[in-house]
Amino acid sequence: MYLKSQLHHIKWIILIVVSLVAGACHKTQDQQIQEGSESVALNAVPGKDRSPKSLVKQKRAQLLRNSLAKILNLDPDGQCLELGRLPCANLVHRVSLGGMNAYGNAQYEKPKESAITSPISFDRMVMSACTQRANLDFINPASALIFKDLSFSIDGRLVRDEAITQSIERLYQRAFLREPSQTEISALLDLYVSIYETEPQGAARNWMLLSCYSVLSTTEFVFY
Amino acid sequence: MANSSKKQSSVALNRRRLLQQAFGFGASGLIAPSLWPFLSGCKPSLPASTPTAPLASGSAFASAQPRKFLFVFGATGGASINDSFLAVRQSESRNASTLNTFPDAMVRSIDGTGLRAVDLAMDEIGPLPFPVEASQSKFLAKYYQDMMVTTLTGSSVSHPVAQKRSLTGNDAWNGRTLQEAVAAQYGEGLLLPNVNMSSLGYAEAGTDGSLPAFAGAQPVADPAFFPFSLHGYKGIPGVPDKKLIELARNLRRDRLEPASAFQKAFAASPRVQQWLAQRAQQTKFEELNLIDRLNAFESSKDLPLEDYGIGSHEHAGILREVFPKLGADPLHNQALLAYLLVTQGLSCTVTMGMGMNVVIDGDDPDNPLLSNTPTAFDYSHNAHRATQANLWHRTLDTLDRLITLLKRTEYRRGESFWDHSMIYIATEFGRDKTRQKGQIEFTSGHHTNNGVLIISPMSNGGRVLGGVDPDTLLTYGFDPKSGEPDAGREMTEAEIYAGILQSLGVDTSGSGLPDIRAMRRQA
Repeated sequence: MYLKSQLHHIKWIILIVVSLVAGACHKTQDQQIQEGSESVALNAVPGKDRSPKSLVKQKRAQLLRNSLAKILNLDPDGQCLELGRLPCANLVHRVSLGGMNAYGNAQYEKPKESAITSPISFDRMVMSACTQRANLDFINPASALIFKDLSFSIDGRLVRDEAITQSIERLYQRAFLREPSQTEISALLDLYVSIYETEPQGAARNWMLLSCYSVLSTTEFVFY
Repeated sequence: MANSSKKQSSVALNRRRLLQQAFGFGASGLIAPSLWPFLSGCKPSLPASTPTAPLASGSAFASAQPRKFLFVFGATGGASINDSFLAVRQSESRNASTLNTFPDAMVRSIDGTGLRAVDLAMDEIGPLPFPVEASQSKFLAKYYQDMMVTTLTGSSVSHPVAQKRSLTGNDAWNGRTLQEAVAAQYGEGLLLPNVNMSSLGYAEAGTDGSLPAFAGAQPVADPAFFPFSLHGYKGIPGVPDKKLIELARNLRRDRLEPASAFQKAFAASPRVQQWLAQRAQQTKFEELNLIDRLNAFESSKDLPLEDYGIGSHEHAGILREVFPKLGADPLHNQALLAYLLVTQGLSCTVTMGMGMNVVIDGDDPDNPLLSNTPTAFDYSHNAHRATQANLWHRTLDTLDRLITLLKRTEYRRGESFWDHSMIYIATEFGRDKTRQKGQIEFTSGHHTNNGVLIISPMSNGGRVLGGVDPDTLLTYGFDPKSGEPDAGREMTEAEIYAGILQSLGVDTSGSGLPDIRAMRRQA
């Protein structure tokens, strides 16, 4: 019985030692990757949070359109129209955002990688949709979807209260199904200050629009 | 006021002269120096803050090694050299009635070149009730000094396979396409080195894993809409001022993304890194205002550009006169964008093509014309002669307009863009050589034996490399060094591929490609 208990203890000790050694090796490997890489982004990332495979897919035009429509509660066919009539996702930006044009131009293969115009097209679709949402929420704060119950001064400034933080939380919840971190909340609050300092007129509405745009065009939203 | 009126009359005069010279076949070989400042390439209009690297300015061109420019035209469906520049007269063949030969009067030629042209008119295109009035001789007379026909025997009669092989030389250099090779050589520092507006196999990327990332093709589905992809917010109603958008972008990059768990987890992803690198270029496109400068459309009720704050290229009116079917004809849209991409200092190779969709020219509703047959040149399966004549005419007409503009746009030190350009008319294969006895119209299948047309001041122009047997219509090859015809030789896709790259001065050392000196002007 005693022997069995001792063996059990030894087994645990061995396991702990092995784990520690493995952990140390892992840390060393991480450091080597970080030291050897020229990527700023990679250097900034603690190893424990990193995905070992880093497999992501970029949202193509139609998925982006549908995501924006759902998150911002907009008409998928009306949220982005170039010149007020040319559909962004189905026509203008489809190939730039990773789609193909089989019927129109016999382009049967999707591009394997993003094109240099892809982030521009992505920004354009997000900007268009966020403009609509910001305008709707600004006109009627009481029935707003994201920027709800915000108070405005006569000259269009935001009145600081809890509704601002709640709006940011609502934006993150709808976009990513998660709460924003304190860093993210602070960043978006600071954005308002910067906007106001640069252009006081219409600062509240511009903050709503640009908060939406800056969050929905992050890499977290671009990829899945 | 007096100055303004003088300027206007000068513009009107230049416009008139430009158009007269552009389409007065045979009389416009020389460039009028007075037109230089009128259509200029990269020199004017750069914002003061524009970095010089992406949009090479006059001074950058002066100090840098000059670039070369490759335009690839995908003649989809099988453009037959027997129906154009190697046409055979009936009087020359012992089998004239059963081969695809032409009445002598239809075939024009230029003495001493071996180059020929077919002019013909037909009342319909097989079962399609559209007339054809086709001329190749005007183009030949105008450009023969820069035209080189090389014979070729391909390796596939499958459309997409043969299309791609016409660009890779049947994987002659690790699967690298001609355009990728040119972009790798001349495209570094350009914003859009390699743009591809074509379709099917002509739109496919090469397979060379060692290709520099910048040399890959930017796909463009519709040139008319492409400028919208070159600015992140211009033309969107209600967007805030640029300064505020910059604040939001900086916040995204510097605070939101580094803070997100996603970025911590996936920052090492090549796709994420590529996206961030591409996004970092965005402001360069916006500062250059390419959404306006690559747009030649006029604001109208149907296209209310002005209402959305979008402008046009400074010479859009003239460009529309050279390409009058802009908007209606996809080929005009492509050729004009090709011109703008190169002359605005954005690209060194652009690929276009006629596609397989029907295009009808309805300018005259009572007498519509079929600009593009269904499946393009492949409609030869139904009506060979009319299809070939119609589409060769369409091809040459479009290229004439493109060359005209390139010749009249200064590149550097008094040289035009055309002086540094090459147009390669790529096609999948030729067509059957035979016809039912005596038939004027007939059908044809695919045939690997053919030839290709290359137009460039850098090519060995004004001649045919190889030849055609008038009794079989089969083409034969040439000696790669001397260019002398060799009836016992057939040219391969790899040899033509090598000759094109070598004419363009691409460094092919280590590639194992053969030396095709005969295709170079300084042969």
